[in-house]
Amino acid sequence: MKKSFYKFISHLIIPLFLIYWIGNTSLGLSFISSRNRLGEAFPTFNKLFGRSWNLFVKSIDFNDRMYLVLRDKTTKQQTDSLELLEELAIEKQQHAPFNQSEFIIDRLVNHYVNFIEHQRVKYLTLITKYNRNIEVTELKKRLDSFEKNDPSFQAGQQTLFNYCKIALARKNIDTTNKEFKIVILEKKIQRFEDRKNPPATDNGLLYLETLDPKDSDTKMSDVIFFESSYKSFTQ
Amino acid sequence: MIRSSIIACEDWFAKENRKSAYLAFLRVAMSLWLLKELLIDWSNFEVLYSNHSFIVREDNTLMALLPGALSFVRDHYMTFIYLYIVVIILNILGVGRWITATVLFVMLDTLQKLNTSIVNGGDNMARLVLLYLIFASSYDYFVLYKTKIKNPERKRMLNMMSNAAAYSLMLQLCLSYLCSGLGKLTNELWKNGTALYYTMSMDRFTGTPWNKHLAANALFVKIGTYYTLVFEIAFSFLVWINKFRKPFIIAGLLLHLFIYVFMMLYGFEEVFILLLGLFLTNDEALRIARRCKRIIFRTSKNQAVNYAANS
Repeated sequence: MKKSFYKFISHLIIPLFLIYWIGNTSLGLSFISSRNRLGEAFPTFNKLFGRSWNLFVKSIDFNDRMYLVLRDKTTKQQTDSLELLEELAIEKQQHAPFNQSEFIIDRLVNHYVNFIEHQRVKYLTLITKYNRNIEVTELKKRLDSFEKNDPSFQAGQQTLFNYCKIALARKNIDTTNKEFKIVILEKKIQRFEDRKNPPATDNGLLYLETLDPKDSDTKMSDVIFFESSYKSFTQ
Repeated sequence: MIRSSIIACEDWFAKENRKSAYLAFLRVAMSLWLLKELLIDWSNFEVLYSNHSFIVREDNTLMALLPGALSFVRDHYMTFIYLYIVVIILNILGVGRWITATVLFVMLDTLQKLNTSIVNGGDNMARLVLLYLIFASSYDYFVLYKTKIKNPERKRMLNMMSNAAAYSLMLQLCLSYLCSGLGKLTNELWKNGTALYYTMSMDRFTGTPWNKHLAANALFVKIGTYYTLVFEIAFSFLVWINKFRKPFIIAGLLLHLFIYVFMMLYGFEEVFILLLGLFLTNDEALRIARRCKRIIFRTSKNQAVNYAANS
């Protein structure tokens, strides 16, 4: 009885191995095309084994930036602004290779920043697909409606707000009678051809920047991906 | 024709456990890797796994099937972590064999589901390695006790399963390189040889102050970009040819060490480096192990002699 069981299993291994690898290879390679139809057709297999092994495929020519802007509730004057992602990168670099704490916070915050950017692009594509000449105010209204009805987007946004509060507390910045907003943008990396002309402040290490208009290095012409409305600290 | 090929393939698979030495090493090394990851994450467990983190959870995977399951684990995350450590230690010692390996896989999967935002390519690969290791006979070495299989049919079946698991791990590595390589071919920056400049200029991956100087060197950028591209595409095909096997293992090692140092992707690269060793034959793996043992033995013997002479 046992003998025939082992024999039966032995006969199954090679065909199962071949079927699994034909499926896995087809699924893996299908991620390369922009339309991963195979993955959509087999969602369970996709979830269990399918991974988009696109390691550094999208070579990115920008750095993400997340600015935290504070203003006075009564005068509506901007009081502080600070950039949070670059600071995380600097801390990660300074503590390498023993930088696991910095690595974790950097990865978590960037995950939600990328998620918000990704959702923004998705909604923009959806809205402008059938209505290319849409007015800016109408576009903003529709974007807001999409974002408010997406629990994942709301969770991502709230996570970033929570992180901003932690960052402010760590820096001992007074938040009485103040409200805040976040601005996410993409800061272009200098083109390869222009690499020999670094900015004046460049000393080989990363350097901090703010959304201060006096800071010549911060160009608001860099692509703004997301700008939240002002939030109260009590919210 | 197909039937005879399958029978020939079956016989080749069933003859012996072709990667027994390295599979045993991989089981222990992966378990130690999991322990290391836990230890370095220890001070951040509350952020990562508790319900009191700044992260707003939006579970949409397991929650649909088992409402409250992940939240329950989060409420008792330290108990879960302690149990996880016990299972890792049992897996290192080879106690419980495939049952322990299965429990370990389920626990790692749960831990990754507790916080999907932290999971990267290395973690995904580690998860797959544990999945394949359930089917592998990795208990010929580094175990608390050995068991002798008397039934030849059972031995044949276990050899086949083990070899299928080992070759699946190797194919998985090839697939990840091939997909990454082919994907890069669709990107203009990789095609024109400047991708390394942009990758090394990203703040998040600036591992050393030398990154910017290296990225400014056009020759370095071009060679590095095309080296990565050629390696990732050619590896899957040429590593199976004996003549190219060792050069490709060394080339892979160099690539991962470079990323390790200059881009600060530590855990990720360690998993990929460990997998490269599967392309060694059993004899080669055993020879390396014997050499390491001799070096360690000689060093400790010398230390003992020195200590005795000094005292």
